[in-house]
Amino acid sequence: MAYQNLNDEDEVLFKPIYETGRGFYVLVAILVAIFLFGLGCYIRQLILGLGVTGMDEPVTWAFYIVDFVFFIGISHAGTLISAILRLSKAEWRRPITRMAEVITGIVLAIGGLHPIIDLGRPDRILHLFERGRLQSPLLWDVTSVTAYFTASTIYLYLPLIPDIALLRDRGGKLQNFYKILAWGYQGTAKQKHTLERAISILMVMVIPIAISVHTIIAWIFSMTLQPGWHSTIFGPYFVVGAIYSGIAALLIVMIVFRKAYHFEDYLKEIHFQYLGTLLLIMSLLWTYFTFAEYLTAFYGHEPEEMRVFLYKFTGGYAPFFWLMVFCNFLLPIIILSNRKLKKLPGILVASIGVVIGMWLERLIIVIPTLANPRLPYPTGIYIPSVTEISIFAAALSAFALGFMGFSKLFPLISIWEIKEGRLQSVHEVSKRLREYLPGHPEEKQVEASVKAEI
Amino acid sequence: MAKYGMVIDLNKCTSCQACVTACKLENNVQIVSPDDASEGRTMFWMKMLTLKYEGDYPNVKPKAIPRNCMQCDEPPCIKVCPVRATYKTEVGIVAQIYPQCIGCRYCMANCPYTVKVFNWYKTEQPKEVEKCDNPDVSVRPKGVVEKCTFCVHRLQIAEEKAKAEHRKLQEGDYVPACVEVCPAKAIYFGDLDDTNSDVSKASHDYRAFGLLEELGTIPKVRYLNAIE
Amino acid sequence: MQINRRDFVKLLGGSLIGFAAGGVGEALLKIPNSVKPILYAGPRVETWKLTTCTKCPGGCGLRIRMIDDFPIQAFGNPLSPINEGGVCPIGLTSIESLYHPDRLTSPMKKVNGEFQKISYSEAYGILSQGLKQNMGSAKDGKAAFVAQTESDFMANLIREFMSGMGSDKVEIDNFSANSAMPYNRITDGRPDFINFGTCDFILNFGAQFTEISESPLYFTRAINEFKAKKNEFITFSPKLTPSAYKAKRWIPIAPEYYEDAALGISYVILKDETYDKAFVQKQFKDFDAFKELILQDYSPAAVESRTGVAAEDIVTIARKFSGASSPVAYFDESILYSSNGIRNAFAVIALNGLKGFAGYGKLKGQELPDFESGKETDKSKQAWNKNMLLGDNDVKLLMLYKNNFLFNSPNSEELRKALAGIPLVVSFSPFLDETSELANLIIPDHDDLEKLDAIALTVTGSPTISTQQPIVKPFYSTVHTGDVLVSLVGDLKLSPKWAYKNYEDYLQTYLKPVYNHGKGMLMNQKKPTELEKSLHQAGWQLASYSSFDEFWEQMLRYGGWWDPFPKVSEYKPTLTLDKNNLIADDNSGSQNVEPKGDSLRLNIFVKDLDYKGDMARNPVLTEQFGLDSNIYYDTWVEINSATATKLSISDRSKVRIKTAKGSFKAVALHNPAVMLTNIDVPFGLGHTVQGKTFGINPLSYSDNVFDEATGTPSFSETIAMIERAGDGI
Repeated sequence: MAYQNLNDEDEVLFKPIYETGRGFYVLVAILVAIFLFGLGCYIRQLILGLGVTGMDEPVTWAFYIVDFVFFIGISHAGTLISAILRLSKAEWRRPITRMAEVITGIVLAIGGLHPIIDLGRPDRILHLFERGRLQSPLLWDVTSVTAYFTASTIYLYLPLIPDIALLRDRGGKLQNFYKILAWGYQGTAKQKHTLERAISILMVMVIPIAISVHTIIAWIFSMTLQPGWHSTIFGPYFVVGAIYSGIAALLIVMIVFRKAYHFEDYLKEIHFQYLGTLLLIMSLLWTYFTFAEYLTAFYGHEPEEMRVFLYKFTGGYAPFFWLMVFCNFLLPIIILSNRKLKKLPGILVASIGVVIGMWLERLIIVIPTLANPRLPYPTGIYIPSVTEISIFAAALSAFALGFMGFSKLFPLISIWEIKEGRLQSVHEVSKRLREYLPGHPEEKQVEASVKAEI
Repeated sequence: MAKYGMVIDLNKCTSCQACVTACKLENNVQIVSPDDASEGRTMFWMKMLTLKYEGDYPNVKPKAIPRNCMQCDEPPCIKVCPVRATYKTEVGIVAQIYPQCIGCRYCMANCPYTVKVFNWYKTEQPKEVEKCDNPDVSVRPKGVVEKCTFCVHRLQIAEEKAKAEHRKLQEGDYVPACVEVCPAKAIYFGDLDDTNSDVSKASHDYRAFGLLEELGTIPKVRYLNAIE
Repeated sequence: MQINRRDFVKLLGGSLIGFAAGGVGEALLKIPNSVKPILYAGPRVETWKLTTCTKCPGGCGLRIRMIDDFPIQAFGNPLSPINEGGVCPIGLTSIESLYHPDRLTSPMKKVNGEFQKISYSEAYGILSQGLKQNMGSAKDGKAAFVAQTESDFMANLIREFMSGMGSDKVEIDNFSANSAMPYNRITDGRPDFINFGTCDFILNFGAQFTEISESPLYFTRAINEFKAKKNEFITFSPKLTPSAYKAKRWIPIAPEYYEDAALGISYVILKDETYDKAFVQKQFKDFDAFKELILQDYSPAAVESRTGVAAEDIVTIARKFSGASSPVAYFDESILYSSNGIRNAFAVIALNGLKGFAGYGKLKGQELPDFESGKETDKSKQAWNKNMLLGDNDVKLLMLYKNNFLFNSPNSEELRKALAGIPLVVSFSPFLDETSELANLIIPDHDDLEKLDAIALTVTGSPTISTQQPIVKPFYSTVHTGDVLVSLVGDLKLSPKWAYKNYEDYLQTYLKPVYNHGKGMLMNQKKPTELEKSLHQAGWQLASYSSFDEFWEQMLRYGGWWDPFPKVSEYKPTLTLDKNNLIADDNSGSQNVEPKGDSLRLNIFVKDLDYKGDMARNPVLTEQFGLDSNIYYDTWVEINSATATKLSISDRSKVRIKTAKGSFKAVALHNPAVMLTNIDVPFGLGHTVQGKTFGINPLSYSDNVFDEATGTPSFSETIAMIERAGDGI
């Protein structure tokens, strides 16, 4: 598509949609290759059976379930963060929300497929609907993931409508595509009002759904009787972990696309500072939950619990456990609480650390419990097979491909919200400020000082 | 309705493993390839399990138990099954419906006794064994979970037979293969609700215990401690 | 949706039909053409037949389940007095060998190192030609026969055959005969059974009652009943086998010290003067010399210093033994698996003698066929055994029947060379194994389910003959080895008064006396009640037959005959034990294995599933071999946790075991019940033929140590070092 510079003030946000560099195609080719390899591995698994994985007795859940929990966790980046930021009227949210929501949509689709990959009989998947048992936490999960996927897709789509309308108005080959998606949006006051109302209803709704999703995933584990899983704090613990990994993933995506698409003017240092602080808070919260979880297990000293506990602390999974502690606790805290290190490179390192750490956390939750059954069977060993690793790699590349594909169809930063911010936010913020500042400061005076600050 | 249960007398049991073999052959349980076996995918519905060694050398004794499905009265596996692939029959047997199972392995993860096994591959028996398959029991397809069924096919045969003979099912008409072959007659089997049955008496013996009873699963397979 | 039982049955039925269709199609490929039509169009009718398992000396009755006359499952025969419906893993899997893809389907001869199928008449011709050339007269026998069979009938036939051939170079591995052999050397015959009715204390020297014994199934029940009566038994053994941990106490001891332990106990009894003086006076020849020897050398303190068994324990056990009203000191073949095996056995017999064999019983009158020839061989000081093939250039023809000695003997390399020097080696093995692989001619025997045989035993206290009937017609061109031998004797005129037509005829001749004396009953009804017993004593008969033919036909159909009310007497033999029986010759091969420093004793143990190391053929048993250790299709070693900690070997880590013959890798398991000086390694894996090698054969790493009298290899007199394997798992 030939790119026409219309000299919009937010022209740089439109640019990636119309202009594609060579590097992009090379990257897509590589990612598609990885994805196809993973797909091939899955087809082989379909034909031969789950035996091609490294799973065994008693480790009957492994990589796929770990990845499932991990991806669903990442999905909390989005909708939840964007909803909370919108709800709290944080002005700095404007360039962030779109990316967060896109992450959610794509990752949820990928994560949601993982339990199906894990099934011994994916051909019987419809049994879940035909003869599902609502008593099973797995069915709760099916319900909540579907609900979350629906809600978050709509929540991604609604704020996208005004931008699609902008794209439609620009013409080009995909005009008809945009025309359908824009739903006849013309930016009239009534349309705008309806849209905003819809968004506000959704953002309130999506928060409990998002929290329920990860709580229910935690319940899949904690509803069992198994040592290391049967814990009441698993619900909130998982939610905290999910938000934590979500923010980290969001930071990585922001930093990467800021660089790739030259969004420096929109994603400023301050955004990373704020999100970095949020990451730090989540890190501390996560550490607190982890500490509480393991302390109770250790203090109670039940033999079965201790077998799992020691397997993590000193046994076979000790390297992973301590690497997780480093990635999730030491690394982010050192970087993010240090003014000198809390710069873009530092934040990127911390975020990557957190994403790896959170993946390890899921691994450490799922496998050691299964590997140490209550009865004295020999401890299970689990080594992932090539199939599992390539399917994980394929999932990661599917995510990247999805994100890149999205960026070629829609703007990664909500243009209308930026424009709206430019027009209204100074006024709104100063109005808000006036409401909570002591005394009765003049509106103009506040507005002037806000402007001066910017 | 009867409530079938089993009591295994560890005082009589000599760990000869006949129950293991009988179970394997009666139920066409797959013999996995050596490679799979070394990965820990062997399939045993009945297994000998050494719980612990009691005492100090040389006065040391292993506490070895034959371990099949406990046929819990409060089965944790049924609770979590998303598709009704496992259920408790009216005679208390925790049954598996292989054509229903989607292979999510949630029941395996929630079984505190780790009795369930999964068909990682398509069933391929060694040639020596495949011709000796028991025609009463279906061979499970790949990708489903299976476990001890108390040889429920034997119950069906026994019921049909009793019906044909116009009589009620009597004690001893229906016993699982492991019970039938036990050289030491160490396994009692029958109706737990029938207070006159051997198994019911044995289950109330002072030596009786259930495995991991504290979890509240109410196992219907119980053990009698060895007399020291 | 509710799923009721009907639906469940439907589902089950549906999958069943599918299975039947698929299963049969698959199976057709491996079944001989002659039987295909039945499988295609068979009505799928279920039938049951009774037979006997001859895989061990136990003689358990089997109930074979058949579909369209093809065996599919084996269970125990509830009417058999031996097993009363129980059955062991080996019996349960006795069907598998019938369908084994590695079965030899016809006679074969070796041409240029390759086996070639030939007709039976050709094979028979070669064999009879070879025999004709190698008939001998005296001790320089040119023909030798090494066999392994649990059937006394077959063993006797082989002996008669070889005596006709003029050679006494016969070794027959037969558990009961081997167990009886020490008795036959120094007494006038073996006790027939442990009298569990009166016996109140058992001292067990290494016998694995419930796993490998003269009748594991009978002993399982008998020992449980024995214990239920609050009687004690104590086991001396180098490994905590089930027979050791089901005992009141386990005394860990290396097998070559059974002798010292038994004599140490004798010492205490002699000192206490609690022995049966009347018996000793009358039946114990040279008792004073015996007493002198014991009092001189076997004080509990001396025994403790040699064997490591606490003197206190010896005294306690001795007092229990002498305090019991009818104690038994028991041993069986397994006591011979040591360099001083025969002396071990003599010591235990002597210990029994001190209490007048009070716990044993003997059957009165001759109700079972008596095979004198076997006992005669036992009497000689040095019976022939396969180790004598080494350096024996006279042997020109060697016949092998099921004995796979190249697998279960540590000197297999030497024997292999000796075999290579013999011009004609004939094997009757139904499978190609390590030994039959080297034969020039193979005339494969039938599978157990295709052949006729019988096992006679007295171990239950009731004389019993369990018969094995052919369940199916032979699948392939195999020939019953008994038939081959019977017709060879006739054709070559080896015996002047030989008049048997075939093996069945031979069996019948031996079983006619059983019919003639009219006692006992067939295994077609339940164990007689007290009422029936009194009726019987009043002269009633339980017989359901009126002629020998009927008797024979029913005996085969019901799986055997037994006498529930035998006349029994006390067992009071004459002991011709002299000092030399108990003292080692200076030039004996026995070595004193005392592990020093980091070296340990390599103790090979036999798992209950494996009888002579030949179960690796059976896929069910091979898999189950690793059930206890959870290490499948591979060798593991067990080591005491304390020893392992000292040598810093962690649980389930790879280790390397070094012996004088080489080294092998295995997985080390911690086990608190292993003797501190031992590395326990299981026997049975490591077969090199039949395409699949799993694990290692520990005997090929063992020193060539044998019991000099019997040639039985020692299983635990090899020094070994254990170390962590360098290259991880």
